[in-house]
Amino acid sequence: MVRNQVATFMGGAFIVVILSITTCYAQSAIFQESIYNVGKKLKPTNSSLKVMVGDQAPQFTLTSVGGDKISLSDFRGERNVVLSFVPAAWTPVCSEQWPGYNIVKDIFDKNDAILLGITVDNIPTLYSWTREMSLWFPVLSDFFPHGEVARKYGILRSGGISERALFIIDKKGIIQYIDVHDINKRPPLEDLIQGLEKLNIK
Amino acid sequence: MKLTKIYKEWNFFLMLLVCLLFLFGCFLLPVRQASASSLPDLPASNTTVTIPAFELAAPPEEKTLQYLGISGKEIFKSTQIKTEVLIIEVFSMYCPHCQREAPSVNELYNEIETDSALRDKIKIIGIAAGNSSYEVDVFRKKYEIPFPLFPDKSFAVIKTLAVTETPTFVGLKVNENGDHDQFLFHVGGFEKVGKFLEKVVTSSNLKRERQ
Repeated sequence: MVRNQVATFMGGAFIVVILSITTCYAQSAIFQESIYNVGKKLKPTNSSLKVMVGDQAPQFTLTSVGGDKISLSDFRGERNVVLSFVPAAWTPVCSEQWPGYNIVKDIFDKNDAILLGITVDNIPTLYSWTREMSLWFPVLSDFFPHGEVARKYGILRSGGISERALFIIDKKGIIQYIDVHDINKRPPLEDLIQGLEKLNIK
Repeated sequence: MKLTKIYKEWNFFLMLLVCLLFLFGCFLLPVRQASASSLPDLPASNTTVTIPAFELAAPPEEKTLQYLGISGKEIFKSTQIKTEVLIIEVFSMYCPHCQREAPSVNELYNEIETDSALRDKIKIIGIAAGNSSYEVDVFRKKYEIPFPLFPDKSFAVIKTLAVTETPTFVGLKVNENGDHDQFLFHVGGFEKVGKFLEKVVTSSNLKRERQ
């Protein structure tokens, strides 16, 4: 009987060891080594915007990495919406932009805002990419029809990726802030937060 | 019933032991590879890396000025920080590794500050690669960082330190020419706070006696 218990204990230890391998190792440098080196600088922007501040934001419904269908209209009358389009998963600037937003949930909450991250990548790619980030906000796939939402907003680049763009849409569905940023650079956080804080002053 | 028979066999225990040893081996290997792929912690013994003194904007808080031992100037030089050893953490608010590492760096600071033999000899500052003051403030508040953090929006300091990854820890001393001698260059997080602190003390030849 004692031997039996020892065997059970060792079996348990075996499972714990396996689990610790998968969790600890995944947190090491593996994520950074997976980032694709874009190489040369890309043209800062390469599309023509189809919307303006004051316009009604184009509607969309997209599937999130979590599998939910999320529509812009879900938040009408309820929350301000920040759309953060990033060009592609597994690229240098993008891989740091959302982890930055990840530690400022309180600022979004304070401004009654939800953040939706959008790329033209497919769900499996977005799943692998965002898994390590443990993001609090939904990440949506604008993969098929390819980049349709990005096209509606006029931020689909000629190469099929989207701009690095931020939109703030108020509770009435009106666009209040647009930043189609230089694709090679990270938009400063304070600009976005100031844009959000302005909504509350109005 | 057959299973209980197997459990009774000593061979089974041996097999389990071998499996466990093998798995521990596999576990250690990738960690070593990860650190081997980063830059070495120490410069080669006969080539001391010299880093020129760099400028920083004086923080407004009196407490921070006191910690750094500088009087209220607008701009001060890194070599003016009153300490024998300066540890610089190069980080970014946006870097997930730095976010995860933040509590350990706070612990390092606390260990130094509570050790009377080290308190006035080692100072820590953070340099935020490409971050704005606002972004640095967000990081400071989020992780309750007790040591001074400086934004380096233009990457000027980062270039001086030749840092390309975050987090990186750089250990500096002041040499007789008024520049810095770099005694430590550690890419990535540190596994254990105590072990890292010991490495700082030994590689900087710091004497632990109380002043």
